[in-house]
Amino acid sequence: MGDLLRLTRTELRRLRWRRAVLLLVAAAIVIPGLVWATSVWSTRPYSDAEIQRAREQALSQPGFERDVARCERHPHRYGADSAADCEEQMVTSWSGLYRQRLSVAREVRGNGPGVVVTVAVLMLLAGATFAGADWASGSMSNQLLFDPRRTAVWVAKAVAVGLGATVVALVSQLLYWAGIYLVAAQRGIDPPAALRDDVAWLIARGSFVVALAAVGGFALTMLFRSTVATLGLLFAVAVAGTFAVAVLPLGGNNERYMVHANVNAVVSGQHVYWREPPEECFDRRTGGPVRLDGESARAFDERCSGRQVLSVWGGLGYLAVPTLLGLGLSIGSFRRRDVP
Amino acid sequence: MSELVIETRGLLKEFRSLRKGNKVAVKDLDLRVPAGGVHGFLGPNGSGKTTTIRMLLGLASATGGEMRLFDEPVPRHLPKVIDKVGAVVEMPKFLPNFTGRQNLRMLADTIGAPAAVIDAALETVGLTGRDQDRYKGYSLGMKQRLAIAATLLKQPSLLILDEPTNGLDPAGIREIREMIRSLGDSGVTVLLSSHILAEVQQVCTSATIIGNGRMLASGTVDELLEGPGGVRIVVDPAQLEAARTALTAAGVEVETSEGALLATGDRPPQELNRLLGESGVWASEIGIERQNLESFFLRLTEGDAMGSAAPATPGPGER
Repeated sequence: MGDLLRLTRTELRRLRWRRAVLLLVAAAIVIPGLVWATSVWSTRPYSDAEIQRAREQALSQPGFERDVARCERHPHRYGADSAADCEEQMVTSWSGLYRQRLSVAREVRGNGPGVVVTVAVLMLLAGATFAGADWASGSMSNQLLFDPRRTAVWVAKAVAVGLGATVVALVSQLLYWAGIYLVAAQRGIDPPAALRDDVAWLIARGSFVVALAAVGGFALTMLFRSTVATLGLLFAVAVAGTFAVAVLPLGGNNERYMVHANVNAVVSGQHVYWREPPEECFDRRTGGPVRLDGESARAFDERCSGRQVLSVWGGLGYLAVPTLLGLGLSIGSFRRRDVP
Repeated sequence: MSELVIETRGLLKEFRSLRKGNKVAVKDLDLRVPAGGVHGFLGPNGSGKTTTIRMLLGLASATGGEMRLFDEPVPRHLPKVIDKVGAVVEMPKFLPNFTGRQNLRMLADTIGAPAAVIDAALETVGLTGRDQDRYKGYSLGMKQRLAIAATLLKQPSLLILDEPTNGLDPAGIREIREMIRSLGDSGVTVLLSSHILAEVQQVCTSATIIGNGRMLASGTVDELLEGPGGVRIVVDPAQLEAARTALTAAGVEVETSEGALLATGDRPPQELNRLLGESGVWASEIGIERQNLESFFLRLTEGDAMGSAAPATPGPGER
């Protein structure tokens, strides 16, 4: 165990000293920073003068008051968080001031998962280039001359890559969300307390996905002994794989088997998609709904809307198959094959 | 019989390829390297030297046979003995964007060696002062020195060097030769694989010659070079052909070598001189030439190109 810790420390140092890895880490901080800046800029509050002008314009329009009243009855249908927000929402709609307020809830659904995926791709590259450099330079054989226990060497490298990626994912996401909460506080926005849990879970799941991507990139490169081969395979899977899944006869449930859907399910907590409703739900001739005896509108909607929810566990199960296969092949190949 | 630090029995390595078919790189190799001294490991290109070394070090798997390092079966117990083995296999291999010191630090950390060992190794190979330069900026000679420095991080009992003077300038070659000799004198066993036979003859106490993956000869350098090399006869160039004719007519085997004649066989110089005199040819110089490693090696490996099936020939040390 002590030997493995020493090996892992050595690999962590090797990781830190690799310039390509440092550049990718820098990108993993800078790019979410740019996303944050874009989000902050695009939600900047209008000036008092702009609002006043827009309000006057809206109030002078016939039907404005009626729309505000409708919004107050169903705020969510009109894009408002609550009835109190309706007048401002309607002013926005009627006056063309479409810039939305900063919303932590929207960030959790949109930019948050986007940041995770970006960092995951960057750390996948870091894992791949970390192993690729050892093979390209031939220094892998040198390392094995100092410790020939191949399984231990593989594990130490994988642990270093996984740990490094987890730290980068945590730092990058914590900075992002700290920035969002800071700006929200400055703008007098008080996000619901329950959102904090959502953010915490998003950070935790995101860090897991980032670590998995980094270790996956590392494992594939240890298998193929080339960064280019790894990237080529992933590109092929992304393009050809998606196309293949799209045309496979999977009973209209093809999205369930697409990589992006499963990654999103794990990162976001669930992935909602739509599939073709069952044929018996609609009349073939008229296209109208065919309800079962005594079926309520809600029950019909549940049965026939085609709405599908892919859970975290569903996504994890899907991702576990190629991940475990890749890790097994990688470690098995490294143990058995000659090292140049 | 002294203790063996390297021992292989019936070592076999086949490279299998669906496209090119199977290729035997090492076949039935019995290699024995005794403790202490410098042991030469010789063979033409592609004869299986590097493959043998790579198998001993666990970088390549053997198809058959047994290998032992320090009496431990390898690769199974390689982790037990690897700390006693330093090796440079083929070209030096380090991360190009790391400095020389960073590369050594990585390796030293792997075995828990302190920083002072790195300083000592760098000083031994004369790289102090260039250790903060990136490896990719090193000359080939500096890369070789760094590779040798890496082997010294472990303070090994066995040093395996595969062409260690490749790319070194004459002064560097001499330094490395001196270093190898002093390591051998200090009790470290050195296995030196080299194409520079004069160098091997100067440095090595024993040697093994392989060809086509099989051992051709093995023993101490003195044993290998036992027996007459021949009698070297220098005559007026205008009389060279007449001298050759006279000696050949008397049943002497003669070769032309560097403008002189080399008579092999057991005829003493005075008899050869008499035969020449009777033919009216007067030698300007005549003397016994001892067999050198180069001529012995070339004779053993003559026509020994990779892929041809040369049967194992027992060398002097094997007889």
